[in-house]
Amino acid sequence: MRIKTLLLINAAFFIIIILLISLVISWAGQKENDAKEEKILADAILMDVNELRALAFDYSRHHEERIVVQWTIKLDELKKLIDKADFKTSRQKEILDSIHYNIDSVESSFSDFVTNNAIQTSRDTATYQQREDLLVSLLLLKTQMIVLDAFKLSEESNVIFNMASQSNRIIVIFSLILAAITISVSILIMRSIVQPLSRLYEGARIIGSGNLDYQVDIKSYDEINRLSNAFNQMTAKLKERTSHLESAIQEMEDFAYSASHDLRTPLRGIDGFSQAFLEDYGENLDETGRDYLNRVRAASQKMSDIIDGMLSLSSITRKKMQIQEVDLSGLAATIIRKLRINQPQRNVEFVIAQGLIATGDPQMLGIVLENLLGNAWKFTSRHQSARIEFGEKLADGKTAYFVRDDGAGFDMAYADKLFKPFERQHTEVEFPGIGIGLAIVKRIINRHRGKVWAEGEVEKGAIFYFTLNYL
Amino acid sequence: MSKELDLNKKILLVEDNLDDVALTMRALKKNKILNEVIVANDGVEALDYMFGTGKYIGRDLNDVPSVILLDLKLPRIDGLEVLRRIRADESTKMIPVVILTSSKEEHDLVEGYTLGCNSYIRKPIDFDRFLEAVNQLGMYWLLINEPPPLKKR
Ligand SMILES: Nc1ncnc2c1ncn2[C@@H]1O[C@H](COP(=O)(O)OP(=O)(O)O)[C@@H](O)[C@H]1O
Ligand SMILES: [Mg+2]
Repeated sequence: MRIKTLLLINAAFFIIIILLISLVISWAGQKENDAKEEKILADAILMDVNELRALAFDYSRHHEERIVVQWTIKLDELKKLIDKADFKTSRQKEILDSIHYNIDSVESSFSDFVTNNAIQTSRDTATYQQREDLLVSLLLLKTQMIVLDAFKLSEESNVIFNMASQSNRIIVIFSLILAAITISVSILIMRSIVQPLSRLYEGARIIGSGNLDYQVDIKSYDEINRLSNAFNQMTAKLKERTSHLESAIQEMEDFAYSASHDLRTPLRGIDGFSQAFLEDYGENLDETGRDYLNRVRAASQKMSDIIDGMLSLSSITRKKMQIQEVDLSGLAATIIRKLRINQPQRNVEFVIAQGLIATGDPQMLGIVLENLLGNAWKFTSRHQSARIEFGEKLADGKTAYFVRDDGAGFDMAYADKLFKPFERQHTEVEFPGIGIGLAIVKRIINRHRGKVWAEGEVEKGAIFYFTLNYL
Repeated sequence: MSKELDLNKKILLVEDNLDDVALTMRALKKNKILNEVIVANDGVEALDYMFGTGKYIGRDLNDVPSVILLDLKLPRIDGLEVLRRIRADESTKMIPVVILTSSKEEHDLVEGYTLGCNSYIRKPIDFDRFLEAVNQLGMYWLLINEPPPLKKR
């Protein structure tokens, strides 16, 4: 089911429950109120009847006109109360009818009583007394019945009141259970969203780190499923595009490689035949002619170096990497030994941090150190003595390796250009070279997903940093 | 030196680039290697010569070159394939073959093959180095080493 529908259903369910609860509570409250009022009414009736009884009793003893007036007032009050009463159940109505009936008969009994009293003077006392006793007991009996009925009414209201509060309680508990169910359903829905989302996140991370073959596997039938399908499609497209780009780059790289490669053949001809010319016919030329031919040879030598540079640059891109642990300190020591053997007369102090272990392609990292240490060696060659340092330090929270020297340095304004192929800051007379070394370094560091940068100051020295990200 | 050379032994040069042919011939001459040089301009021609087919049909196969200078990049059949076929045949598999490579990559490529060839020269643009290499080649294969014994067909 779609998450949207699920959420809608859940929300509707919740609203219905809330409506239900409030309806039930107000209905039960109404019921309770009614029952309370009814009980008050029944109690009032009971009290009035009791008072009527007392008045009747009083009258039988004192026969005062004042009591008759009081009786009439009470009776009116009672009648009004009963007229006002609006009972709902049939049982209550029955009781009320009986009260009605009894009141009527009480009323007539009392009036009989009063009449009897009025005629008392003219009749004989014995009959009168006999009659009055009868009337009084009748009256008491009738009022007693009303009292009973009123009791019953009060009792009945009590029962209704209790029933209402009981059902109120039950319904509130039931609603609470329903609410708990809806809340759990909401939590389940949340889970069903959160879990696949975190798997998508995980997938995005894996793909982002370069594994374009990764597919997120989410089995559901909702929006998340659509999202993950789109996600997988996107990854497939990304993979397709990447391989397109890769093959385009590969083509360019192949072209650069074979072009450089094929340039060697004519160059071999230029150099070879200039030399043959010089050797076989040099005597027929004057000094200038021989100088020109020598320049042709020097130029072709230079071109050959450039081609070699291009080929080694392109071989970095073409080479397959073999990632393993590399002992950078050991590599540096070997390179330094070779430098010293080549130029034993130089006075250079090397400071190498021990135990620098990195992860990467050992051959490529060897080329990096060869170039950086070779440059440091070369660009300090015009100083009496020099100090070259290889070490590591933290840069932006990452380990950066560095090669520092106190040689010719360079102008920081051109710090970025250094890493471009065939860009140099020094003339070939000062320091020989073709300017491919740092470009190769940069390519290697790029392939290791690291960064390389340089700081320098003219005649103060230079420092080259690099980071590696194969961890 | 040159007196000791067996001038009857031929050199087979398999090379498509005519400049390289001329420069190689000059280098040989300069180093007093005066043996006859047979030039094959591609792999097919080289194999024809070796096995007496095509253009060389009916050639005396006992007349085996004492050394083969083999370029790698050749039209039609490339140098590695030529080498493989020469090594696969009983009558030619002992002939020394020197491979002329024109880059370090080519050198690595040849090393990857276990075809048991005998030497490589990286075709140097610096003619001095080339001379040195060819000189060494002449000394080594034509003077010091006895040519391998022939197996009659
Ligand atoms: N240690 C260094 N001190 C001063 N300048 C340097 C140093 N290393 C490199 N450079 C500058 O960067 C340029 C490019 O270096 P590189 O690519 O290695 O080429 P090359 O060594 O052939 O000159 C150099 O010509 C030089 O100007
Ligand atoms: Mg350099």
